[in-house]
Formats: sequence, C-alpha cells, structure tokens
Amino acid sequence: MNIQGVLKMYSRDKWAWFLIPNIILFSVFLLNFIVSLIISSDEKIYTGGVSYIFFYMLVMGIMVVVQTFPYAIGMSIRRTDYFLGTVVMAVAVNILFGIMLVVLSVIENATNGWGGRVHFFHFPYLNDGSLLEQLTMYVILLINLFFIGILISSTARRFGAKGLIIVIISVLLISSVVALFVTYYGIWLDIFQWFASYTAVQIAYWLILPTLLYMLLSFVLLRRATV
Amino acid sequence: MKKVVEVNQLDKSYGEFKAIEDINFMIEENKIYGLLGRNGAGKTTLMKLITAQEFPTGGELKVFGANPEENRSVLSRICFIKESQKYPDNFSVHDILKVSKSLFPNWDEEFAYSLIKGFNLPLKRKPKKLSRGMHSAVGVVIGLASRAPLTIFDEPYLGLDAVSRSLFYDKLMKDYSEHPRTVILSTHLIDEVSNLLEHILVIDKGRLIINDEAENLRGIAYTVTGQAARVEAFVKNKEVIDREPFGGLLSATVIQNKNSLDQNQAATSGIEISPLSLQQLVVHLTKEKSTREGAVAQ
Repeated sequence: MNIQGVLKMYSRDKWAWFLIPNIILFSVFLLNFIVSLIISSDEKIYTGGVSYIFFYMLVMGIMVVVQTFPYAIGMSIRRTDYFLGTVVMAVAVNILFGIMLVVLSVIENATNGWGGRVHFFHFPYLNDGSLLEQLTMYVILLINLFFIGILISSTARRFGAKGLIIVIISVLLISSVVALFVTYYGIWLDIFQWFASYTAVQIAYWLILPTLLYMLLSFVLLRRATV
Repeated sequence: MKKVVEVNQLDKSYGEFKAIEDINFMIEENKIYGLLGRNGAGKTTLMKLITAQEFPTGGELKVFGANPEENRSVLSRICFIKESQKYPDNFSVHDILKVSKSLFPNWDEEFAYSLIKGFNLPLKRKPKKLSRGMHSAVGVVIGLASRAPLTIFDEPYLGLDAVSRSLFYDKLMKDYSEHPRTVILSTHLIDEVSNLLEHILVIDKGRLIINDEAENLRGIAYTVTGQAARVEAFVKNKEVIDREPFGGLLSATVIQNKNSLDQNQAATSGIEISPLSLQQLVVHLTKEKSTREGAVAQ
C-alpha cells in the first residue's frame, strides 16, 4: 500500500524525473546537430553531450532525498517503504532512459550520424555489444550514479552537513593515497589494460556490486535518519 | 476506553541535552488533547517520537498498542501536521492533495476541496510561493481531510488570520463530532482553544508537569487582588504560585485547595477574586523561577 504511495508521490513530479532531463538532453543534441550543419567538413563530430544524462541522474539522486524524504516521513510513510519505492522508481525510470539511449544510438548509427556525421548517442566501444548488452550497460551505469547521489544525500540527512564533509574529505584522502601507491608501484598501465580487456557491458557488471553496496548503505542511513 | 498512546519513562536526549525526560502518560481514544508548554519545552520532540520521526533514547512507547517505529499499520493511522512540514518544491497544492489521497486511507477528497475553498488556497501554487498562513492552511487541510484515527497538529496555525483560525476550530469540532478520532493539538494560543480541549498535558523543560482533565484545571487557580495586608491574610496557608505587588496593593495567584469556603471568606474580606484562565495558569506554572523573582525585585 505505501510503496504505491511513494510511487504516486514521485509520479506527481514529472518535471524532475522526465521533462527536465529530456528537455536539456535534446536541447544539447539539437545544438550539436545545428553546429554540424554549419560546419561543413567531412570529419566525424564526437561530442560528450550524452554524458549529461548520467550526471543528471547523480544530481537527481541527491535531490530526491533532499526534496522528498522530509515530506514522505512527515506524511507517515515508513522509511523502508520510502526506500523501496525509491528503488522501484529509480530502476523503472532508468530502464526507460536506457531504452531511449539505445534506440537513439541505433537510429544515429543507421542514419550515419543523423545525416550529418554527428556522433551524439553512438560511440565505439560503448555501443559495441548487442542491443540488450547496451541497454544493460546504460541501466546499470544510470542506477549506479543515481544511488551514489542517494548515498551522498542520505549521509547528509543522517549526519548533517558536517558529517557529509567529513565523509567526502575521507573519501578524497583515501583515493589520493590509493592513487599515490598506484603511481609508486607503476601499475597504472596494468589497470588500463585490465579495463581494456573487458567489454563495456562486462565492466558494467562489475558496477553491480558497488551499486548494491550504495543501496544498502543508503538504506541503513535513512533507516535512522530523522526529519 | 481504548488507549491510543502509552508512554512510559520516555527519554530523548541529544548528547548532553535532555529534550524529554522520564515522561509518563496515556492518551485515550476519541478525545481532544491539548499539549501545552513553552518554546523548546519538548512538545515537538514528543510528537515526533509518537509518530516515529525521531527515535527515543529510553523508555517505552506504544501507539495503537505497538511500537510505531517502521510499523506500517500504526503509521498509516497517524497524521502529524507540524509547523515546519516541508513539501517538494515542484509540487503544487493540488499535487499535495493528490498524494495525500493515496497516503491516508480515510482521506475525504470532497471535504479537502471544501476546506481549500474555505481557506482561499490557490490550487496551482507551489509551496515556496505560499505565504506563511497559506502554508499552515495546507497542513490544516491535510490534517482534517485525512481523518486519521490519531491526528496531531503541532502549531497548525502559524500566520493564519483570525477568520481562518476560527474556520479551523469550527471544522475541527464539526468533523470531530461526525467522525470521532483522537486529536492532539499543540499550541500557544491556549485561550482560543481552551474550550475545545478535553484533556491537558503541559510540558516544561522536557518534563510533564500537568496531566489532567481540562474541566478540573479550569477552576483550579484564581487571582486575589486587594490591599496587601488583606490579601496576605487571605492567602495564608494557601499555595501561592505568584505574587505581584502594585503600590499598596497585592495580586496573588493561588492554587485552590478543594475548599469551597474560600470564596465566601473572600467576600467578607473585601478583596477581589478572579478565576485564572487556562492560558494564565500555564504561563504561571511554566514561567522560570528566576524571571519571576526578577520581576518582583524590580
């Protein structure tokens, strides 16, 4: 009953979930397309415009908790139901975005870059696998980023801004130390080779584990968060 | 009588600060309770504990016979409207009503829209663009239309004008008589609601200092005014909670000892007696000792 309530709550906010990301994505695409028409050259035009949608999901994850957690808990929704509803919503929305990206990349490939050599949705390596593999890769990546966002704002919700800053500084410190060691032992090349030996979807599979970890941590944090 | 809320030795502390200390009380079904006390006394914390928005550090808390924490069957029977309630920025008042409909099993949509009309609320407006009073009115509409078996209002009418406030009282009483439920009302405007309240809980510095029927409290205290010597003679052997000298006159506030002879004695002594309103009683009981003494010293 209450998971439906959470989904109902999210579905009222079509702007944040559907309209804004699509409007911006297609505006950026249109801009790229127009530029490709103006510049008359035979070279292919690669743009990173599509990466916008991935950053949007990260930001969306952060905003969701900020905007809806105090409201949902205030309206007598169980924290567990809030979390489960959020997972269902995130998976559903990101599958839709995944399908959209795959369809657009297929069209782009078939029309030779929208007839203008624009490579906006279709990339070598990323879009090498089968359609299902491409879809899986997109969906995992989007959900992963969304829950990094959720984890960030859940930390802030549970421990306040101060707690979040401490966690972020710790993460930065730890990753700097790791980077130092990697440089010291000169294993950057090995790491890149390891990545290169796998396909995009195989690397996406590796992301499932940390994604589940982010989900679990977010749940533990929200479960004890107050409003 | 069915017990809706049972609280035993409830504690809530934030580090060193004890927001709620050793509170015990019980709330019965289908009555209107007033939860009164000064700012920072612990009223909101107590209500947040009852609704599982905060977690207690000690003691026992039962709502509808069970621990409310992550308890769907308990939480679905509660509607808690707090003054600081946040709504998503992209939501309009209309969205808030639609979501409320799917969250509260007893939601009455027709009633909700009639209230929206009564409070002159713009349906399409976003919460950030609502005035303080309109923001409060949205909460009042949710609280009333949800018809939750346990409805809690925490300062529901901050910024609401007098017309809207009396509309709230009228609708609350009318709807309460048609659909009985348990209501907890926390407010500073005690005089305005004192006729609605059936039972009074007063919290001071995290402790429960009054837990009594409103009827019993209405006649419990009175103020005696007159010549200082006469007043002193009258209040001798009585419990005086406040003294205010004014020239040669003295005004003393006395807690009644069930002695009905008090009034007669006053008449013969030629001093004036006026009953203390609930609001004045709460003010006297929760006023800090130091400020009381300070006022007298000046």
